[in-house]
Amino acid sequence: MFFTRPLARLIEEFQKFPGVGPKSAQRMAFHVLDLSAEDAQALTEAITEAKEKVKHCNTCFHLSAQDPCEICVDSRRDQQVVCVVADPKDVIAFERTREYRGQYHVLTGLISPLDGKGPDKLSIRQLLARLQNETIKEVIMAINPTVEGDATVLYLSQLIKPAGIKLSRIAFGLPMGSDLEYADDMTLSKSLEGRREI
Amino acid sequence: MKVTQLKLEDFRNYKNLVVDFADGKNIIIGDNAQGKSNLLEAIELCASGKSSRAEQDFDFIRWGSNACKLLLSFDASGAEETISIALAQQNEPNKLLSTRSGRLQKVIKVNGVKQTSVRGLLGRIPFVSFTSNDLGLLRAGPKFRREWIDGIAVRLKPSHHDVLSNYAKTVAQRNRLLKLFAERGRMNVSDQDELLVWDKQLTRFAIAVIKMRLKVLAELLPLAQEIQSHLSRADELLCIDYALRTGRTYSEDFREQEESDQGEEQALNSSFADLHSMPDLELAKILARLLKQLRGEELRRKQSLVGPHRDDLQVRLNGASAIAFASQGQQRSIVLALKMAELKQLSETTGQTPILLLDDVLAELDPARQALLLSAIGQPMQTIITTTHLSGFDPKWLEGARIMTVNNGQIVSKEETSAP
Ligand SMILES: Nc1ncnc2c1ncn2[C@@H]1O[C@H](COP(=O)(O)OP(=O)(O)O)[C@@H](O)[C@H]1O
Ligand SMILES: [Mg+2]
Ligand SMILES: [Zn+2]
Repeated sequence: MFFTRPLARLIEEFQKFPGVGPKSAQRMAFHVLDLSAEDAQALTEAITEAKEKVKHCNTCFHLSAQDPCEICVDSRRDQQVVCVVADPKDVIAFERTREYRGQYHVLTGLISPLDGKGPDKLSIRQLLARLQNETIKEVIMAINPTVEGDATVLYLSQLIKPAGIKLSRIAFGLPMGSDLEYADDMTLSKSLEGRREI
Repeated sequence: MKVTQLKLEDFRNYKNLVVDFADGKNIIIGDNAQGKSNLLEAIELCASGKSSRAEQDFDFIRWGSNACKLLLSFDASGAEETISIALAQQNEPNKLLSTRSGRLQKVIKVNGVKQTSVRGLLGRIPFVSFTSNDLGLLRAGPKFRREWIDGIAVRLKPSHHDVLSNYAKTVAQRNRLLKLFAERGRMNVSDQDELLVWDKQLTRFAIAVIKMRLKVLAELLPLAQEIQSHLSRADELLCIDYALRTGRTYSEDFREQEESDQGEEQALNSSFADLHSMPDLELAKILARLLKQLRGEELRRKQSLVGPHRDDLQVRLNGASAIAFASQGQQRSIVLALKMAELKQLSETTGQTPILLLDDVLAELDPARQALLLSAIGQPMQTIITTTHLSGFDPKWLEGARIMTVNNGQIVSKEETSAP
């Protein structure tokens, strides 16, 4: 054995992180060993606190230490429009733009039978309840145009459309600063689908 | 388009290989199991990201090794470009090194730039490969013909790769759902909604896959017909039907067709011209009807039984099924005509001269046909040919060829025959 047991264990834990291979895991573990006792303590506390306090908001399913979350309780935000996303990371991406001022609903995943994800595993029931009980008039689906993303949008639109709520999906297309000539067909046809009048 | 050099490290039975190719004919001679096909496979892998022989990427790595590297240099209108593929086994820290399992890291680079997916290398090296296996194109199972036509489609239009992979993903997702519902025994309303979603997804990608196959056929067939009638020096009319399958096995369908020459099944074996001109909506309706008809059977078999992954191409000569009625010789002519048409279509569509990879097949053709194949597009092509012996070749034809002998994963000799 190259590493003494506690060190090997730490490396193994780091290696479970997304995108972390054996080498980076080793580097991270050695970094932890180099930390001062206080810094190491701060790290374990940060992990414990985040794990303990950060939960799903029971309304929108975004991650937050409070329930309802900061976004849901903000009365200055538009109460009539909800943006449906797959993941809390998508909420953060939208918030960063400071453009969107409506509500969110995080599905906590996409429909994917291969991953054991049926509609019942997502927060779809709760979304439908919100549409019924709140003042929402418009739903914007901000879901990636993948096989699973499209399936999820289809499923949701089957359920939402009959309710007479305005339904749209964000456009996908060319990244800013890119060149039409080099865009692939999928992206081009997606952006053509999502074109709008000027 | 020319490939100039191939470098292999621990690929199949090659520990270390550097081979330079001539612009014209390259002939690789060797006894059986020396690595001739492996060499062509390496080129095909770099050009298409795929091999028709390997079941899994692990197969590419030389036994006893845990990584392999391929580097193909090619000349794209004057500029030297490269494609490289590196596979490395990612071992779990506490597993034995020798297990051929676990994760395989794959790094694809084009001109040294890392690509996020195999899509990045597609369409850079137009090629047609013709192996002795292809001679059985008509007799092989339907999967062989589907892969053949889809392979052409991707070489003509690289972005079609995404359509095919989305379709395959959809079928896999839908199969899992069918399995789930079959095991649960009963479907509630929400289950039906969910299956409906995957029906819609399946239909949408199915139409894209089928339409592309029909488009490829519509261009390919006239070219093949012309070559075929030239080859046979007779009025033989070559036709290809696109058969929308209903999920039964090929032989079941075939038997049934012989028994009764009518019915739904027959109606669906429309000539591709009819299907080709069919609006998407009509095609969607046919698929919807089949999906409805076969729902029970799908749940019993826990498999998607409708869609292009079950379809087939049926080749007819003067109206009669070529598998049933054409002679061995005629069947070979048909395959040759199709392959030559493939070359023509690819060179016309891409505006480039494709590379021709011939594995163990040229010596099986008579000298007249050898010459015809190699002049298929009317201008000199780079060809890489494998064979066990030179005796089957026209001596005149060997003039100006680079002849290399491969033995147990090494090139042991190289000679340049004098130019004509
Ligand atoms: N991953 C591998 N590692 C080492 N040898 C391999 C591997 N895969 C195939 N081979 C060997 O390669 C040889 C087959 O090479 P191939 O190119 O098909 O022969 P041929 O010259 O007849 O075309 C066989 O001897 C087989 O055992
Ligand atoms: Mg071989
Ligand atoms: Zn909330």
